[in-house]
Amino acid sequence: MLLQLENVQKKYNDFHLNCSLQVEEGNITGIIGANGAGKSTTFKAALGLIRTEGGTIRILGKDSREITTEDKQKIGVVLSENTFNDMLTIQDILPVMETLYTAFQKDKFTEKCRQYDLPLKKQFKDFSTGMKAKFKLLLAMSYDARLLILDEPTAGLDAVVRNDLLDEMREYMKQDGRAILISSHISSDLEGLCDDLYFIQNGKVLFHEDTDIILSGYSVLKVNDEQYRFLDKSYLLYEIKEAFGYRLLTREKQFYLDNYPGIVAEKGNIDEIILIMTKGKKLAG
Amino acid sequence: MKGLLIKDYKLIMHNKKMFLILMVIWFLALQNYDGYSFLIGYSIMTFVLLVLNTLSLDEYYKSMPYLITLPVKRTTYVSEKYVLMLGFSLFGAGLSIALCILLHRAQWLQILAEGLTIYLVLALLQLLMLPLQLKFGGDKGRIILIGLLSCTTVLAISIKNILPGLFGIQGGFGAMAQNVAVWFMGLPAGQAVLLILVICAICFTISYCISLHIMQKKEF
Repeated sequence: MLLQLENVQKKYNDFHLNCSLQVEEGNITGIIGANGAGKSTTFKAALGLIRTEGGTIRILGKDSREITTEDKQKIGVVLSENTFNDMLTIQDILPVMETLYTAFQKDKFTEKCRQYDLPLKKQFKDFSTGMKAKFKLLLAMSYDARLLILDEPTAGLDAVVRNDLLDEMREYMKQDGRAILISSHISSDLEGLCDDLYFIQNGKVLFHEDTDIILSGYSVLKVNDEQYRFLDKSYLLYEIKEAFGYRLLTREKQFYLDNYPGIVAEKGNIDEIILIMTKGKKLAG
Repeated sequence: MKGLLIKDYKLIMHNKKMFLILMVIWFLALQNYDGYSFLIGYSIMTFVLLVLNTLSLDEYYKSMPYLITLPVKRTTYVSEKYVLMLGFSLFGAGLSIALCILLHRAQWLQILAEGLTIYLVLALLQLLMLPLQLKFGGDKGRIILIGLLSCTTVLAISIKNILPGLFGIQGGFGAMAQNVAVWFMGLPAGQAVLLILVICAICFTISYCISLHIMQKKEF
């Protein structure tokens, strides 16, 4: 286990984070949730940037309070804020990284920067949003970190660049012993990348599941009022009342298809599942 | 710490144009103006502001959270700023005192004494500025510093006018300060230097410990 949060608590006025999650070696774990759901607070808690008020955080197998500077060399970070000061250039930070990280691959990093058209002598303040995002991710992957903690690394990017960066992450995971914790607003990015997903709402983990199970096991049933009345509701998880009838979330698609031939059952996708879970009514199933 | 020092050095180098302009003004003033105290103080403060600017820029560009995730301790970030501040202010003092002496060799002892006195006063100011900037950030920190210095001045004037009357000090506050100065001047040179160093060390330790405490508690 490269990262483990157990009942981590943090309060800000009317917001209360109470989060438990795990990132296993060899896995890419995703966090999804709306703005203000607690994703960034979770990342900051994991990185020791805020003081938590309860719970335990274990990172690289150690209590987070015992993390040394050597351990920090094994953690790659992308935050929603800046990396280095915006007055600096890539050229400026190369000797800084060489001094701070023994495993910093300077040649490989500069080569990647050239590949992604990142100018070495331009100040970061003159970088576009896309350039900054590319730079932050490439920098986090430049020193053989075992754990990447990436808060919205693809935010503000167009589809082409997003795909390139997602490919970089997949490539990075080909080496054993690594793991990634990533958050994103774009659920399709996480669907195609992550092994498992956490859905956070109002500071709490509402849902955790393997991506394969979400995509193959979960299903959204669309039924009219008549069908709904006679439906066995034992295996229904959530429901939303709509103009035409009901949208229902289940993990037993086959049961309903076999017993109710007229029902429309759509393959689960993360956006729809999240929508039903957040807006719908929880059922006993 | 070396990595952070390199980062700040690179940052300072991006401000080198402004620095060079200030130093040219200083050099021109040096040749046409005899007020060594002002010239030495100006030079020290130019170097000090370069360092304080690195802290302000870290905060302004919101890079501090990332810097804390680097393989350095929070305490190292604080230590690096103190090392940089001391190094730059000492360099600024050394350079300006040396140049002043070079151009006015006959008054070398007076320049040296004035220069060291100004350096010590400004060093105390720096020790006050760093924790304030760490706690409140660049702009707020400077406003609070100005407020603090204004309050201290008002307090000092009040004490000067009120205390002697209250405690019946003969000759007023001025005489009391004069007595302290006379006592200090009467000390053997070794003891006087030792006393100054002890006072500086105490101020440095207090300022550094406060800064460490602020940084340890800081949330990003």
